[in-house]
Order: sequence, then structure tokens, then C-alpha cells
Amino acid sequence: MSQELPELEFDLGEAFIRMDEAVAETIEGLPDFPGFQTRTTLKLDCPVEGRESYEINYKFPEHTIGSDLVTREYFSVLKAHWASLGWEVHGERDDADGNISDIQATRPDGVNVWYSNLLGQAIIHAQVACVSPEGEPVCGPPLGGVTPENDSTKDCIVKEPEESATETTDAIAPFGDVQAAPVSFPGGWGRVTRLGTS
Amino acid sequence: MTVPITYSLLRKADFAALEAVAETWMNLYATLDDQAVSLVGLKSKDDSAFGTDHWEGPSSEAARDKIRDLVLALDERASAARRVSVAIAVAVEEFKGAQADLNEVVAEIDRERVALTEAGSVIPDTSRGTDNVSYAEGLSSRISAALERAAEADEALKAAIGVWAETFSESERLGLVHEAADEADELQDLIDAGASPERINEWWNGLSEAERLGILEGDPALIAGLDGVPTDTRDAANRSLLEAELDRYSPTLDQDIADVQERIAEIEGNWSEIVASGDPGESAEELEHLRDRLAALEDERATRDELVNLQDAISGQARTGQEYFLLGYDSAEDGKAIVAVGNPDTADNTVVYVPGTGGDLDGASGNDLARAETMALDASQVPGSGETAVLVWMDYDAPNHPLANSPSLSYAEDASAPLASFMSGLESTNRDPEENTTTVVGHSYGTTVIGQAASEHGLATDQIVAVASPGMTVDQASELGIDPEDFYATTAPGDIIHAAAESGRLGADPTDTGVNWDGRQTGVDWDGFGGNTFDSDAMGSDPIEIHSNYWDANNPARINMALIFTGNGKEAT
Repeated sequence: MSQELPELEFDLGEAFIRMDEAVAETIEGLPDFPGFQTRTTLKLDCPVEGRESYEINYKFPEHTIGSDLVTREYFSVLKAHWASLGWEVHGERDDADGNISDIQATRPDGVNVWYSNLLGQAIIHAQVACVSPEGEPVCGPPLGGVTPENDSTKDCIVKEPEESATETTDAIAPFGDVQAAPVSFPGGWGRVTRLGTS
Repeated sequence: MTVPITYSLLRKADFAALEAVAETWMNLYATLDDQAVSLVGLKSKDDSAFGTDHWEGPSSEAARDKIRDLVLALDERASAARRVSVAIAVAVEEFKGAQADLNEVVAEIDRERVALTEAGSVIPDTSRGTDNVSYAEGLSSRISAALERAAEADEALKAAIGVWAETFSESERLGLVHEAADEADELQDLIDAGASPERINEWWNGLSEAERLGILEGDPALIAGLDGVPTDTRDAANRSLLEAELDRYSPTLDQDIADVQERIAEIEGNWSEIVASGDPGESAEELEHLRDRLAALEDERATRDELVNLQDAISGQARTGQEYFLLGYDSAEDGKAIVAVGNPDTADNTVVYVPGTGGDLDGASGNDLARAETMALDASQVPGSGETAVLVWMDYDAPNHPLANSPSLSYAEDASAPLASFMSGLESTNRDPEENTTTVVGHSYGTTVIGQAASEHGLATDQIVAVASPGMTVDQASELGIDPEDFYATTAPGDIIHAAAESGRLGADPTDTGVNWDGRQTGVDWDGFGGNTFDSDAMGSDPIEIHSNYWDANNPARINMALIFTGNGKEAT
């Protein structure tokens, strides 16, 4: 079962950076991470007037389709990894054959990450629900080695880390006394910030 | 001036250079499209470089308008470059086919019976009787057919480049239109006679490319909404009409509204003095007139803005990297539109999405189009699924308010024939309907429309999906004209539509399995609606919001629909 997402404390200006950040934190916990093939942004339904929902969708490479790594191992790994980060794990579902096909986790800031196995194809969806449409929707370069031609970001403006690092650091620290800790992103994104509670 | 295609030319021709030209045009398309995307980013949000947060006032508005014009111009040219590239690729295929035909004839020639000249003439050896004459005639005829095939392809390419790359002079363009005048009349006769989409398609396929382009250039309104005409052509016709319609709006419309508002404010501000003057009649009359005029102008502006939004929404590429296609639109009243994400004529899977209550032109270029893109992306991620084109079919007058008029069947009755015709048209224009998986998916009242159309006319579709249905005007899936095994339904727990579905006013609840919670049949003569049900999540607690949450962030309905649309319905849960 899924859950109702909490009220967000950030706006659209930070949404894509936060979603990518949540994906980066997710893949940090994946052993033998094979990289991603595509990144696509989506605008989704939001029932609240004047608010907008978005998703960043990362597809794993074709050679991983049906592999034990992405269809079995990553589910158990993520369950533990997300919990260790203090995220609320939920949304566990099985496919028609009774094998686990979906698992989700929500970060304390409301970003939801959904790992799914669609007939062997692994996908990570990072989502923000009903965000205030304020601010320039900036996103960083794609994670996991996605090439420019496979990076479809109609809903955000891609900025290089140098362009956005400073403003990002300031922008994504919504919890007054929380220190923003640097974290390495795979796939070329040099430095962003991770929100920690410790 | 066109060089005639001769026997020796076709025999020696190497089409590699032409193929490279096609690639160059495709690269130009990609470059122009990227530029358009970059420019859109300048003004896409208030916080963007040219957004209202950074720049206000008349100059900023003019700059944003200018960017919009540039984006549209780039998009138009990008689209033209893509069409030129496709036209060249099609021509190359035809040229190669003609060359292969010719080479086949040459290889078969029995040199003891006939002689073949360098110009391609076949001379029979009559010294041994007359048999060789008919043999030579047969060969000549096949050589002529190959040359004719190449000439037709050349003519079509010339017309396509003339139209799309705008290399035609006005007189050449008019000549193209004039040459197709008889065919346009013939098409009008077919329409007047009520020809089916299949018949229209058959007739259309019998035209030369030059004739098709002549009709498109001369009378786009004739084919813009005509089921059976290929998607790419309908798209070009509708975009042309949309641009022409927008051009008809007064460029001073916004200023006219501001002027009227200012005059109304002036009269209202001075009203006590006007009354004190003892003769307010004339001012009262002017005020009434101004208010009427303001209302009319604001209506006009609202329609114009809806059309601008539509034009913006279908510019550039979809989030999935697919092209948008505009298969129809109508700005009257709430407005209608048919917009495709991806080309249904060439896609491996086609999904036609019928929105429900509140659907209109705004939705077709906004929320419903976003849902279509979500469905297209989700489907694209099913391994081995190929391309899935998703269309928003908002070509009916949907009820505006669920409580006021949604239960009425009249909207579905009116939409029934157009939807059936549209689906038949899609089937006829699809390049491989046997292999293509077609699904009609409705949301809410959209499922009622589908049910009415399927049971009344039959729908050319492989599958039907009902999301949050209040009823489909039938009692069982078997009445929908498809195998019940190809019917799928879902309604999330807590959805407000349950009450409407259970009332039975619009037919039986499509998610009713006929089994109670305790596993017993609900009725003696009732074994459920039939077909399959699949999971969807409430994603909230508000019954009204639940009704719209099916395409929400992590609703499992998304995955299940992706599986169904790609022919993997058995895997849906």
C-alpha cells in the first residue's frame, strides 16, 4: 500500500535537484551499480489547485533486464539501505507470479523514490507531489552516465554543477539548523548536498 | 527543371548521396528542435531568465512574445525539415525499388531472342518467327513500369520539397493546388456520400503524393478532421488551420480589453457626479454597452489563449522524445482536440485515451496530455514493447459538472459515432493493424462514452480499459464487441465514483466480479461484469481526489496500464 505524501517544505525551484539527490543517495547503496540508460522528467497529476507534481524517471541499461541483480538483490538491498537512511519504506508489491516488483521509500523532506521491476526492466522513479510552482526548475546533469541524447528533461533546465552548486547548497537546506553534508554523485555530478538529521 | 529519368540514369544511379541528404535534413530537424527547447527555457517559468520575476513591463512582454514567435517558427521549420527528410527517405526507397525492378528485367533477358540497346529499347530477333515480338513487348512494358515508378517517386519528392522546404514559387504552389482540384472535389463527394474511414483511406492511398499535397495546400479543412486520412497529413492540416485561426485574432485584442476596462472604470469612478448632473441615462447606456463588449472581448481572449496553449503544447518533442500530432481541434464552446504523443500509424501499440467529465480543449493541451505522456513513457519501459503512441481523444462535448449532468447519457450518445469512426480511421491508417495492439482507455465518464460506442457501433480496438467507471451502458463485458478477456477495469478504494457505479444508472459496475467478500455469488442470475480487474491505489483519503489519482506519482495503476497497453495484460495485478 502506498501512503499519503507529507506537505513539502520546498518549491519547484528545488524539486528536481532534490529528486536527483534522492536517487543519488539510493544508488549509493546499490552494489555493482550498472549505471542508467535514460533519464526522463514527467509532469504528473496533482489534485491541489495551483500545485504541480513531477517525476524523474531513470531506466536501467538493457543488459540488466531480467538479471538477478536488479530483479531480486536490489529489492532487499534497498529495503535495508533506505531504512538506514531514515527513510520510510513502503509500497511493497508483488507481480502476477508472486515476486516482488515494487518498493518505495519516502525521505523526510517528502521526496518519494520508487524502485520497480517491470517484466525484468528496473526503473527508479523519484517523485514530488503537489509542489508549489515557484522558482526556476533547475536540474543537474543526469546520474549514472546517461548520455545527453538519452536525457529528456522537458520540465527542468539542466545546469552544470559549477553553475548551480552554490545556489543549490543554499537552496536545499530548508531545515534551519540542519547541516548540509557534501556527497559524491556518480555519473559526473561533482558535488551536491545531502540533507542529514545528524 | 526536372531531368527525366531514363533507362541509363536509373541503371547507374547511386542513391547514397541522396540518403546522406536525408540524414542532413534529419540533423537539421534535431538542431532546430534543440534550439526551440533552449528558447522555451528562457521564459518557461516566472523565475526563468526572461520570466516575470526578472523582467516586467511592456518591453518584457514584447520580448516574451518574440521568443514565443521564434519558438513556433523554429518548431515549424524543424517539422518541415523532418518531413523533407522523410520524403527523401521514402523516395530513395522507391527509387531503389524501381532500380531493382529494372535490374531484374535486364538479368532475365534472353539475348538470343532480343537485343537490349543502351537506351533501354528491346529489339526482337524476328528472324526466327514472331514469338520474340511479344516477348520483347513484355520486357519493354516492364522496363517502362520501372521507369514510371521512379518518375512518380521523383515527382512526389519534388512536390514534397516544394511544399515543406518552401522551394515552390507561388505559381508552382498554386499549380499543385490546381492540379489536385478534381481530386478535392471527388473527396468532397465521398464525404457527402458518407464514405467510411476505410473507403476514404483506400481512396487517399490511390492518389499520387503530388495530389495529396495539392489537397493539403489547397483545402486543409477538408482533411483536418477526416478519419481515414494518415496522421502525418492530418497533423499538417490542423497545424495550418490553427495558425490561420490565431492569425485572425486582432493584434490589439489585449489593448482593446484594457481600453474598455479603463473607460468602464472612468464612468464608474465618476458615477456620483454623473448622477448629480441629472441625466445619467446616456452614461448608463454606454456602461451597459461597454460591459457587453468587455464580456465579448474577454471570451474572445479566452478562446485565443486556449488555442495559443494548444499550439505551445504541441511544439517540440514530447517528454518521451516522440513527436506530437494534432489530429483535430475545435475552438467552439468548451473546445475539443485530438492530440497524439507519437504517430499511431507507425507505432507498435496505440492507446486512445478518452477523458471524462470536465474534459475540454484546455485539458487536451494540459492535464490530459500530461497523462498521455505518462502512459507513453510507462509503456515504453516495458521490455520489447516497441513504440506506444498515446492519443487524447477529446472530440466530444463532455459533461462539465459531475453532479449536474454527468449521469446523463446524452453526452455519450452524441460521442458514440465520432469515436467509432475515429477508431476505424486509425485502423485503416495503421501500417500494420494485425501486429499493432490497440487499446481504448477511458477515465470516468470517458468509459461511458467508450461503452456506448462499443455497444452501439463496435470499436476497432483489441482491448478496452475502464478506469473509475460510473458504468459503460452495458451489463457485461461481452456486450462491448471484444473478447471479455481483453477487457480490463479498475476503481480505487474510496473513489467517489463507486456510488454512481453501484447505482447502475449508466449500466453495471465494470469492476463488479459478481462475488461477495465472502466468496459467494452476489445474485442467482448474475456472475459479474466479466473481463479482468486490476489494482489501483487510492493515493489519498478524499473521495473526489481519489477519482483523479490514477496517473499520480506512484499509483500501481500506471504499471498495470503499461502492461496492458503493451499486450502484457496477463501480467497485470
